Amino acid sequence: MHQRMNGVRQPRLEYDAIVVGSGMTGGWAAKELCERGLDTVVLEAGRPIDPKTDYVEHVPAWQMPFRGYGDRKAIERDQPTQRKCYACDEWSSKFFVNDLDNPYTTPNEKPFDWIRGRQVGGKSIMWGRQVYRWSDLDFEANARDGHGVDWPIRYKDIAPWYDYVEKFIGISGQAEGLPQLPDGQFLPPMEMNCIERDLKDAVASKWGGERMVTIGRVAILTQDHNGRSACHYCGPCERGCITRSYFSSVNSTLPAAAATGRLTLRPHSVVESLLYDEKRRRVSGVRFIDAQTMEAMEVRARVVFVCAGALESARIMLNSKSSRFPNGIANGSGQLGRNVMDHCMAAGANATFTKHMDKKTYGNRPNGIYVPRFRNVKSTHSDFLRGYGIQGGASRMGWGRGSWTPGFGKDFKAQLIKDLGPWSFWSGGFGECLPNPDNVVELDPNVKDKWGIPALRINVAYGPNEKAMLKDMAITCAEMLEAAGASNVDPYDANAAPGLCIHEMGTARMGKNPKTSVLNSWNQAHEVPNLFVTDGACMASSACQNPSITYMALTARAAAHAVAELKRRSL
Amino acid sequence: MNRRDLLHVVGGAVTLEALSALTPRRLLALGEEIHRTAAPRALESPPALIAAVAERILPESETPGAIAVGVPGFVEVIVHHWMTDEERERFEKGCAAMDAAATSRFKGDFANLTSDQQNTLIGEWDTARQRENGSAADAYARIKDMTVYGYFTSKPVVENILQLKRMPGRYNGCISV
Repeated sequence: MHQRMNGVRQPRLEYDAIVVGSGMTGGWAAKELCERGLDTVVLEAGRPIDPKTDYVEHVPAWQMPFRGYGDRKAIERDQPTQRKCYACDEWSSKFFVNDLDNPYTTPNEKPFDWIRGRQVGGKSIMWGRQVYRWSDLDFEANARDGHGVDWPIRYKDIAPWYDYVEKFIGISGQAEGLPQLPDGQFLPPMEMNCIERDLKDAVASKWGGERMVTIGRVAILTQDHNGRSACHYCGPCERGCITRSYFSSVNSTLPAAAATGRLTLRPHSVVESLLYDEKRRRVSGVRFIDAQTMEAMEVRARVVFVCAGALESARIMLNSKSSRFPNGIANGSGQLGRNVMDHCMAAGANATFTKHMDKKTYGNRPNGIYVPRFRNVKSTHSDFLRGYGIQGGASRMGWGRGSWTPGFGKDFKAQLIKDLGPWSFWSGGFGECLPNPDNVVELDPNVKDKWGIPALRINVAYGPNEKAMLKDMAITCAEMLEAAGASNVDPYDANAAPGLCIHEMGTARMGKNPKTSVLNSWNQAHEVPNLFVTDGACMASSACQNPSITYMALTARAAAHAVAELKRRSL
Repeated sequence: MNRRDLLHVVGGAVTLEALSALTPRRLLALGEEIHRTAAPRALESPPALIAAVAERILPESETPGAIAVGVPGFVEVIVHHWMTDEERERFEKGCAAMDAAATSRFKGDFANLTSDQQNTLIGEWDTARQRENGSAADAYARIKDMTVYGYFTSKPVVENILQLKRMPGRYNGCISV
């Protein structure tokens, strides 16, 4: 099974399946391929994760060297881009890449924040955990308004796979019967707090039938589920979860894959390119660099799943050149690396509430409220196509207000201890980004990463549709908070660069026509039948919902298809 | 592939398997155990000025004061290991201005004044309309920010005064204070 070469244990050279990446979708590909009988190797670029020592969600601030302020000098030096993500703090910065080792370039006038996690589990360790199904409003959007190419699937094709994935990972939420945001397989919802309930009532009374407020739908367990423990409401999920209460591949899918005895997980394996067999017209394997020895290695398989994250997957495929595919594997359409989308965000409104001052919350709920998309659902908005959802939440200000509230001395201290202060409310939109072929990633001819692999040049900007939507987000967030009785309503539009939503997608889109798309309706490369790409790269449009649950459902669906095709010997 | 080979190659997945074998109850118990943590930085001895200002902002009463819970040491870590050179110079210039104000008004360094004298100066800095870079009011605002944060994230205050639980075990959205 293993060969010893130069004293270094080598992985086997052949498997049934290779999965590139061990995060959100790589974990699902591994689980499904293993459970369906394939001997599978997962190549992960980053280090292994040991939950017992790597998870730090219960480490209090006073045990951190900088009390939570962060090791600023190290982070500014090594992670100048990653630090822009809220989760890249003193506890969790270790889950984000070193920007010096992992460079990328952008044109000066087009900044893009590429946030990455390279370790077993990938970004599923510190993701936002919000999960919302798509509907046919989304799958039909491209066909309806002509942006991008039509999706080759509809809601009915993915619905059973949403069920399948949700039942396994555990989703909490409230069924609402909305056509534009289908209900899922929900565990009991988390509670709204007093102010959020007021907002819900105010929105229902002023905009009933159009707008509504529901509790966030999250991949966090509100009761024990599939051997994992219910959430204990400690708060900072992005630091890990020793009770496995939120979904990550480390907490859920990778253990399931390992339990089959068919999984080989190989950390420190930086994939450089996919190998193409010109005679068989199939992908034959993967070339990777051992990150610790810097040695180049190859591994072969009958089927390859690329799940490295939308931009990383595009980079690997663009770097996989052959005489058949001089511009990147499966790129006959020229669409590989194009149509990059990321939800536009960082616009909304913040406010203060001074009612319910005799009420408080107990526990740290890692979730907020959600206003499902209401623009261009029943009516047509004059300024932009498509729409956005809104997330937000209320909490008592607590002692933190002491930093900017006038006062000092015994009474000041007693007040900060005893009084919780007003409620503060933040809200912000997550808007659909139109597919645009000019938003493109390509290989930078001059820059390479630490492992000698060409870096990406990211050339992406929001267009007028996204900018109009951001303006509207600030207005609607503010008017809803005002309707609920807020004071100090402060609308904002931070004019954020794309990337920071970390919902990048679209670089190898699905479509019906091989001339205009990279993947078919099964996430299978039109031109290379045993190559599947199931992360965000496959998306033909972005909708406005947080995308991970859709990636996961598409991955499980694609894996089932791949195994069936292998058994029919048609790959 | 035999099990030993699997474990050898799998590396990180060894613990995944081990963890997945645990019951939810055992997982919860594991969560109660304190994680391994980095050792806090050795504290430098903080200047008397910072300790004195912090203690006036959050003084000893029926609850501990800023000095008792280690705020001055935290401020020192931030000033010397977190601030940029430019920020530290601005801060230290402001600290010097605080002592200069104490000397010109009450003929002594701030730390050696009486509580009333200290409170008089702090009252002015706390309500200052202008906070020019490097001024006494500027440095005071920075100390106040760090004092509040350092106080309310200290072990004695979190555990004994606020009585926050690391694992609350439930969420209630609207209960009486």
